[in-house]
Amino acid sequence: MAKSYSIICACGSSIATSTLVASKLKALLQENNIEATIKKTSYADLEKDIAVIKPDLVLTTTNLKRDLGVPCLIGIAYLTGVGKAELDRKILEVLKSKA
Amino acid sequence: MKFFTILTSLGPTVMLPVIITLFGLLFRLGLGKAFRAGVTIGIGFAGINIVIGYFWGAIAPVAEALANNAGFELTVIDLGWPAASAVAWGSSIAPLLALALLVINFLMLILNWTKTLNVDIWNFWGVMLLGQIVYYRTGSMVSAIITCSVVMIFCLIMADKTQKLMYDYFQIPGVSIPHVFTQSAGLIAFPINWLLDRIPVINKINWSPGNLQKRFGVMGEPMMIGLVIGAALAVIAKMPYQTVLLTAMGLAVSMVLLPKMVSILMEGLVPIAEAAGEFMTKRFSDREVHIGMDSAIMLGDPANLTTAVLLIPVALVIAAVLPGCKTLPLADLPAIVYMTVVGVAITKGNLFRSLIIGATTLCAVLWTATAMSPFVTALARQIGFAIPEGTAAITSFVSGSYWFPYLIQEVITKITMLF
Repeated sequence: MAKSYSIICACGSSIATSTLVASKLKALLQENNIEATIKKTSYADLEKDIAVIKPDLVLTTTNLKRDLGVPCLIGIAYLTGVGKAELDRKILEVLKSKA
Repeated sequence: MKFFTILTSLGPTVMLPVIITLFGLLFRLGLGKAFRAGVTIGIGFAGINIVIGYFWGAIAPVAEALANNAGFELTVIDLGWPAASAVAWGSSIAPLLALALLVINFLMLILNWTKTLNVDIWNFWGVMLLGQIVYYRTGSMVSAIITCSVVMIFCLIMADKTQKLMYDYFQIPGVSIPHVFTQSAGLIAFPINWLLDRIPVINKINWSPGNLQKRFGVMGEPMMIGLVIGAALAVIAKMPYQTVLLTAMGLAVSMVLLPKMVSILMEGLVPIAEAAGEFMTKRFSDREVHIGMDSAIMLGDPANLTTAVLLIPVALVIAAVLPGCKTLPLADLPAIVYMTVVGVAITKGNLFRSLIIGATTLCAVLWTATAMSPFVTALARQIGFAIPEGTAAITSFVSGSYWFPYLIQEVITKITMLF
């Protein structure tokens, strides 16, 4: 059986932009037959959630400008549509390296 | 027509699935996807209502005791912007207002009056809420649409004007921020910063966030804010210790659960927001535009996060002493972070200045939140939120950061009432 990944999508309140990013991410994972649990959270809760879940990847909708100790990508391309293919590729790359 | 009247009387949980399905079909989503989106939004809405009932039960007695036992006349309870967004999207005139906002952006782009292509459909709710207040106060749909249009024009122009400023500090290319709350709060930042530049000694002070953020990290957690503030309020209100414990947990429960419910509503809105965004983007793909975004993409800046956390206690103190303020900031305390973005950009991350700007903005925010509370309460009751009749009212504290668009609403309402 293929590995199941865990991914955190984070934004200011875990409501709006993280949901948009998670929706694009789900589509990408489905296309590539990758199984993953996606958790949405807010920046205030992010570090606690990373400690508990130990995710394979964190997608944020802003630049947090600090090291979270896990692979972290900025998901703004999923909001604007500019550079989406590049972000797709980077996400798959991170997940592959974790396989 | 009679069908729609009956539908509306059943409340948003039943009405939203039908209306959103129709709205989705309009954007060629396909029946299956549109229907799923509609039902999801209905579920999110029901969830929000359940949590609000709980929230109210936990906090209303304490707010009352605060007034009776401690002399704080803070009878307007802050249910938070997530609840306000549900009021806005749950209204039966929401799809019409959302369409009007899309059309305004479309026209502004065609006429070359803006470079901002606003794909941040979700945040239309802030503008729509103003239209709904006008509609509630005057009964005029035309005035409601005019209000929404004027406010959207304001947002787009401010987005253009602050684009370079935001890029210079936050370094996110190709975007601008037509977010109504951000831009209105930002209007206060410019004059204050100008003033601070001209006061000797003060204009030399520059604090950087440094390690403050790490130290305050845990304080910003909604769960912790709920526990601490719930307990503190009950103690100040001279409640017995059982009530102190119940209020602390009650507020923590609401602060954690409410955003989760609203995010379900958002999940339903995503396919429609994406379809509307794509519709707009396709038509303007041949020219240079700035993609209009939520200020959420800038929140992560350390200076911004630190300013916002430090402003949480400041907000409570200002609310207690500010004359004319009846708002008790609660659910929106973690959302101060959206209010401070422009101030941080203007001062290039100078904590000292962004705190002064933030504290000033808070006064305008608290007054506006208080002023809009009767209408927010009425609109929330209209769509069936579990808010018992009584003296207490609700508001969304951080939504008060649109003091300027709220004034536009006030003027248009007054003019409409003349006729």
